[in-house]
Amino acid sequence: MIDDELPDWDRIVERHANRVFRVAQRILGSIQDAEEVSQDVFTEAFQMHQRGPIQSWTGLLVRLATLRSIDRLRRNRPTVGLRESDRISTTEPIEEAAAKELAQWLRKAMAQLPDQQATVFAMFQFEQLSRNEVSATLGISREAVSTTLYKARQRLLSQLTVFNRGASK
Amino acid sequence: MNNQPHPHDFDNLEPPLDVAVQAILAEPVSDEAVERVKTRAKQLATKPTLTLPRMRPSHWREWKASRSVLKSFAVALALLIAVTGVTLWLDRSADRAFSQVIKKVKAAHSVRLLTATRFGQQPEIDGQMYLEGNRLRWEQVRGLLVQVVDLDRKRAVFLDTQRKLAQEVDIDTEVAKAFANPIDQLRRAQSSDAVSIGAEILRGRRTLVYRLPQVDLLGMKGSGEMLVWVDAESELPAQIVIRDTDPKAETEIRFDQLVWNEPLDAQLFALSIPNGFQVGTVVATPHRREPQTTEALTPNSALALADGVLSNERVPAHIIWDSTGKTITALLRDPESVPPLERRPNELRQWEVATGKVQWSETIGGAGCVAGTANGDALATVIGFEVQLRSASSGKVTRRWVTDKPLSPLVFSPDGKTLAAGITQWGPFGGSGGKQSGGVQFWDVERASLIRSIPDDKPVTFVRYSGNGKYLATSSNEGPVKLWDVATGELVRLFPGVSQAAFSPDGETIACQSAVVSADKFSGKVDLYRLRDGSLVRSFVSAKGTAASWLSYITFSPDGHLLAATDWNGTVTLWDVATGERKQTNMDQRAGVLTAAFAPNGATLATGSEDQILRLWKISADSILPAVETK
Repeated sequence: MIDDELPDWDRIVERHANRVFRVAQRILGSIQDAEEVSQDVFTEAFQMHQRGPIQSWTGLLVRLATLRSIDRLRRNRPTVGLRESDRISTTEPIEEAAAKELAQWLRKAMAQLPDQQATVFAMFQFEQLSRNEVSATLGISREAVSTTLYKARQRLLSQLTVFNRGASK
Repeated sequence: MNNQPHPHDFDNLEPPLDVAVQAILAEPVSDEAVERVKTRAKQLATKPTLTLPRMRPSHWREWKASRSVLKSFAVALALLIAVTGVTLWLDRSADRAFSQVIKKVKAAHSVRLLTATRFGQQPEIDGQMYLEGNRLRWEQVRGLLVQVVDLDRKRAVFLDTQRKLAQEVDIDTEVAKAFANPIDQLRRAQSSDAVSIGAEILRGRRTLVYRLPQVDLLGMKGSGEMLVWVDAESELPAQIVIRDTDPKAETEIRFDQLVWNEPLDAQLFALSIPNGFQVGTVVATPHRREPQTTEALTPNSALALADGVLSNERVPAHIIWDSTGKTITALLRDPESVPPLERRPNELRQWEVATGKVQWSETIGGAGCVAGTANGDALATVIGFEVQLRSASSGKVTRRWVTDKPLSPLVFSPDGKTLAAGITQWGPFGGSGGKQSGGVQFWDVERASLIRSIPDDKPVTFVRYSGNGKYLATSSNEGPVKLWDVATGELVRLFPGVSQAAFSPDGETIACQSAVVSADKFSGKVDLYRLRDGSLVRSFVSAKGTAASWLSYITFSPDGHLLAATDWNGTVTLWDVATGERKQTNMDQRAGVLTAAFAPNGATLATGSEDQILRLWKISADSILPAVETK
């Protein structure tokens, strides 16, 4: 695999394309955006591949996919901050709100999280990597992963609470 | 510290967050979008600016990408060529361009080329091929194996240039077709089948690459594909690769550096037997899966009892065929006779195989081993300290001498000039106590003088020469198998085998009874090692027997395609050497089988067992090479 030739590239693409796209789509919620981000991710990975050997393709691609998707998520929503129109209907309990709406809310909320929190949250919740895997992929300690994840949740929860009067923990 | 749960570690999300995450996870992933991502990502590696400088000439693996990638690759190359002003082939369809190639190939009168054949993990076999009309000459393995084929006359001559053996072969149409002759494949090709897949610079010349699907590969009908690199100027193929489309098969033949229409020496295609060559069976072992051998051992090639029982009154402990396959000489003993307490003396007997008639019989006392020379003239036996040379035609002792060490196993060198004998000195209490010693003595047969003696710490119970006489393998009951250089007496290598070993006829490998037994000990195992570096080539495992396994004898068929092992649990097993596949197992015999010997033509296997029977087994299709009687 560590080879200066390229025939393995197709295999890498075959093996990882699905995952890269999935990561992007879950974060972005749009097929078109996810496709574009996936393409950017593979381009970036290919350039890195040409410069030198890649230790872990899974790690690299998942990290790139997550980071670039979150970048994109933020760019798509230049006016961060949840507006009144983003509110989930409050005429019914939050648990019964349409799942789709909740998903949209979560994506917008993630765009407001600091980079690291959004990344760790996406890897942990969307890709369901273990804390050790997240720690290895991002090159941060396991403790940092746990703390970041905790902060991300707290922040998301607080936003959820703000926008749902009466719905407390 | 690290293993303790972090205070913030809890995996269950709070309900509303969880609902949101689950909703996202439940979203379907579009397969079409993923495919689009794949296609675009793969194109990264085929952008001309990136890849062309990196492409290595004649590196076909570049092409193994999927169809869509190849298409895009071709498009990319077409663009590049158009940009650089070369529009040579853009105005042509692959069909028309390729029909021109076929026309040119048909018109060509000769070609010479280099070949490289590869099967899986095995090393490549390089060769040179000459073609003129329907005549072909293929030299392989550094010219050691030469095949000259005339398809019109349906005749072929196979030459073993090392052993100076020649075999004349009649070839039928089927065999002729199986010959991996790329030119013939091209002649038969339909230009409409050709797909243009790009261009490549090959040794400084521009070539266009075409693919032809469903080409016969090494006799496998339609399972291969052919890639043809066509020189853009001459419109003749410059390189051809035929390979299995299944990448796991890793099977391909490469035809390289084609030189067209150069006058070739007519002598190259001479079907006569060259001076100094003898008629014999040409061993094609190094090319075992090449066209002429692919049909080796059809499934119904049963190890059927052919001529049946040759003898049924004493235990055949050692069997020797003469070099013509007409007679068998066997050392016979009684079932109870365990040396040195024989009830009845052992016997040496010779039969004529065709009639079963006994030619002669000689009492040999307690001799437990017999050896024969390769030319079939002389036999040797040893009783304790006395070595006896015997005439193979009468069984009479022609010469005897006494040694200072007890000898048991015997073997003649291939040239018959040296007799190697294993020293088997059990301790004062037999094998179970006291000091044991062993070694090998080399005797000059003509002068009855000791040439060399090699000491060893264990009784040597087995000796065998390699086919070229360069090495001697020895073993003791508990191993290991030792390989000695005969010329220097140096220990060359140790193999983790026990008791028994056999050199393959091509002299490349040695098969040893494995020291590792199966868990239930009921199946035997033979390990094949490369002599050169001692690496394990493959293992052969026998079917489960009715009793614990102990292999008593291992031998290769004369053409090296088959490996036979006899077992104390009564089984006789034949394996295909090339694949390791078990071909035949016979478990009819209740008693232990002690020895086996292939007839020189490989068509019959003789076995001797404890039930006092010397059996002859017919091996109906041991090789596609037509059986040529070595007369």
